Amino acid sequence: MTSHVPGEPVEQRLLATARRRSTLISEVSTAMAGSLNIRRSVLRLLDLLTPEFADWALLGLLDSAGLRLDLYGGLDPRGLTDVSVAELASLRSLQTLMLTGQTELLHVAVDHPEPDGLDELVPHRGLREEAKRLRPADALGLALLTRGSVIGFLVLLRGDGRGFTVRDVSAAEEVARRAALSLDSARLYRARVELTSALQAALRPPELPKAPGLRLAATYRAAAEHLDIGGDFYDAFGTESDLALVCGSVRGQGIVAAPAAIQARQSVRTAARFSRRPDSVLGATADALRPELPDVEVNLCYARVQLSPGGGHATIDIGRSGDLVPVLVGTGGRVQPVAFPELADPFASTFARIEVERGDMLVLASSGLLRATGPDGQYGIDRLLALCARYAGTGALVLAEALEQDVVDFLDGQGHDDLMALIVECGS
Amino acid sequence: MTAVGAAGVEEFERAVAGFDAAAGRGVIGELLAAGADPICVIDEVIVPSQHQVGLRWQRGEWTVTQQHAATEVALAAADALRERLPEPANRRGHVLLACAEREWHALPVTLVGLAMRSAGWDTTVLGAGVSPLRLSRFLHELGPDATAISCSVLAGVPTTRRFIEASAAAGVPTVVGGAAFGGDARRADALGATAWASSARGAVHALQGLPLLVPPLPPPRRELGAELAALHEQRPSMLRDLAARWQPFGGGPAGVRRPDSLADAVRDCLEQSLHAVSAALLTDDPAALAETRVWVEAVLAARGDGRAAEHAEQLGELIGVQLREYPLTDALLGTHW
Repeated sequence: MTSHVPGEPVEQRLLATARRRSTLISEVSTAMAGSLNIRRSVLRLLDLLTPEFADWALLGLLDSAGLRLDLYGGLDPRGLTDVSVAELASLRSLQTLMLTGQTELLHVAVDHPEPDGLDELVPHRGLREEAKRLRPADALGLALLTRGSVIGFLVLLRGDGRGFTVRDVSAAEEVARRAALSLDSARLYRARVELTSALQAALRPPELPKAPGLRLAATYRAAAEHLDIGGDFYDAFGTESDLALVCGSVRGQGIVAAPAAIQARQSVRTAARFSRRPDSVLGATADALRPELPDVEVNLCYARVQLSPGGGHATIDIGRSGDLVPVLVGTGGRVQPVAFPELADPFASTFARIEVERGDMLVLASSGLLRATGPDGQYGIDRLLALCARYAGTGALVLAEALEQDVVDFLDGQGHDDLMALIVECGS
Repeated sequence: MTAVGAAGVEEFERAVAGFDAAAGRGVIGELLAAGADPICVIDEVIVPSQHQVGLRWQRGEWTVTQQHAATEVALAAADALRERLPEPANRRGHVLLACAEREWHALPVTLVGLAMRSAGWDTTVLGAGVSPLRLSRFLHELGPDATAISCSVLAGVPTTRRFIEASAAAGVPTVVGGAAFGGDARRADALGATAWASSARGAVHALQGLPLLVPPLPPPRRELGAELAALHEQRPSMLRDLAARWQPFGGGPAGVRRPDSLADAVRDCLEQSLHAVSAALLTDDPAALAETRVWVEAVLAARGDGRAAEHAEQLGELIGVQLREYPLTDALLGTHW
């Protein structure tokens, strides 16, 4: 920050430079707070630093295992490369600052044909060559030190005639401190994303199975929409001649409910390996979950779909424990909840068999969907039945989309429990 | 790459009119196999057919259900397109695509995503009815080079603005498009978008000119923010009140319900009109109001309302009465409905 207008009084120039330093420091926190993504945060930082404060900048950030350094910057900030931490052994200056957190200011000999300090500070051959071609006068290496650990480094270069002053170095150290804090938050966020992605993948199949004589569709909106995980889960596995559909929920929302939901889903899958019959699956699942999750209420609906050899007709055996309401949607618009025998214990398992023809659909909707509450009260079974009647004969995909839209519009922006529905259509 | 002939366009329109998804897939597959440019297939075959689907509903020829079934044909066509797109050797960057809350037309954003993929961009398509919270999650998770937002209904404009804000806060530039933006960049500019596009090809072209970083957006003017908040808060009660007062097809005998298709049309007219007010305020473009009045009149006339123009006019007056305490809205409605 030594640029100045010719003829400008020295005091004014120094004051302007001090102001720019101060502005830079305050802008770093604000600008980097806008994103929790590491790459976008680094791009913001590099944009603030170059070309005014430094002619060239490089940022290195350790990966979560501390084995590799991701490198951002150079002449093309879009580029990203990485190096092994083991390669730092030969770069004395960089290794020192990564170990001690201390700033390294190297005055590069510009009149020397090969600037030397950069060999000890820039840990990538291509970037090092790029830096050397700039013929820098000063190279400033700063540790990204935060919460007691060095998580990376920042290298700034300046050309001849505008080396780093003591005040510039202090400003750069403050920038590095603030940047390190933001980048560490982004690293923690990335770790959380990896965790929630793993949980999310365990709650639902990545895609529904292809069964030529059947058509499947699903809609899922978690209560914690930004996480995509919750206490509701669904599954579909098998072939068109013997397809298993699972729709379930455990009490609770978000990350807290997800482990129990994952366990329930896996228990159903394991039980179905031995027998696809709903009574066997629900019985074995209950036996497996009772000791593991004694205080968790698990609602389950399991449907075994067996398509006739020629297609166009299927027998569906349904088992239910809890309050999930399967709905049968006939092509002609005849819509009705599947009838189960009345039981004294509302949480005991109960079973039903239905026969469906080409175009008929079975909807397994979560209780959270039926209990969705908007300005006009609860969504409820009657609205679900009315919507299904309107979309009878249109197909599983259309109905799934229409149902999601209808419920979300009904909510009118209000919060909701997990919303989920799994639909199978016969004979498409 | 070859252009798309008229025969292919007509064949696809026939598949859509017959709600025949397999035929629609087949037509698109044949066009691509014959060497058609995927972006031409999107802009010249699939998108025009969808425009016709919307007009058929507007003219009362199709119900909402038929509209959905026809859109399924286009979605099947999109699947056929997706399956045949080659993996590009070099990726240009990553684009996050989404529709805002209250925007349920997922097809345009899906098609634009495919056009971008065909041009070498990685894409993540979040689909329809996305909340700002969900968009933010993906902005932070993916760190995309751009956000592409599709908005075909004015109801989606307020959340589109929030998408643009969220993207800009993360430094990510935005490309927007869709019928809600009108025929030029005015509304997109007013919302703070980095670029506007009128077609899939335009969106791909816009990506190439985007900056790496954009600054955060300034907040909306205080008085504008206050009126928008009031409109949002009072919308349910205003809808109930307007539904009781506005009877475009006549009230009918007491206790007798309108047919579902007419009730749907009346509800849509009321909702779209209120959304148009918010959109006009937010985009500083009163044309959104005039366009909505014309649309309401067309919807009513197509369903047999002999006094459609008068009823459309009356709807504006009734909304004006409800919103007369709000100076910005009052001024807009008084001169532009």
